[in-house]
Amino acid sequence: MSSPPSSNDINDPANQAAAGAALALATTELEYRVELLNKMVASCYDKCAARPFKEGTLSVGENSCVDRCCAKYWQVVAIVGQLLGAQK
Amino acid sequence: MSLNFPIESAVNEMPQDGRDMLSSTLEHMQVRDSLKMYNNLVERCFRECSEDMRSKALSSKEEQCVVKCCEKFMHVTGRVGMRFSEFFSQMEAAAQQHMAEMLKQQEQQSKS
Repeated sequence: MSSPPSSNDINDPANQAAAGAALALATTELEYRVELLNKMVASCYDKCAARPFKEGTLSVGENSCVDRCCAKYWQVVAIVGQLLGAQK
Repeated sequence: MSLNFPIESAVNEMPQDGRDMLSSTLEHMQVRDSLKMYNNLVERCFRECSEDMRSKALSSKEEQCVVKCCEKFMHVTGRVGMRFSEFFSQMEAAAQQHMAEMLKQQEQQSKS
């Protein structure tokens, strides 16, 4: 970052530009997280909800399946990220 | 990935109309996401539960299935959300630690 955001002058155009860029970045980050969460829910629901549905709540087995599903999903996120990063 | 930029102080320093715009953007995103989720859930439970098209009304079995499908989806959402936030807070803590270590190293290098 070229202009230090610690300066409190909001009228400084450099600060405004930095704040705008950071907000845009934060918005993208938020969108990414929401999307990731939605995909995780969809994947783990597909894999873990026992069919036919017997009840609306999660059984103990389904709960631990969801936990493992999340952990695995994160591992895949990490591996794919590493591979994509290594490509460049 | 965590943000290095102090986003909270940036928001606090923003002029009022900027903050209004930000909160309306967030609200818009929330409405959009909940509508998206509504559509997705309808699609999912229709796909999971409708068996045939011999009648124009849902059979009681299909209806029960839709109810359970939704409830289960809510529970899975809660559980995954819990693990999700755990993961991100861990990752942010790790990133902060990493930053602190890097700063320390830089300091030591500049001293020597």
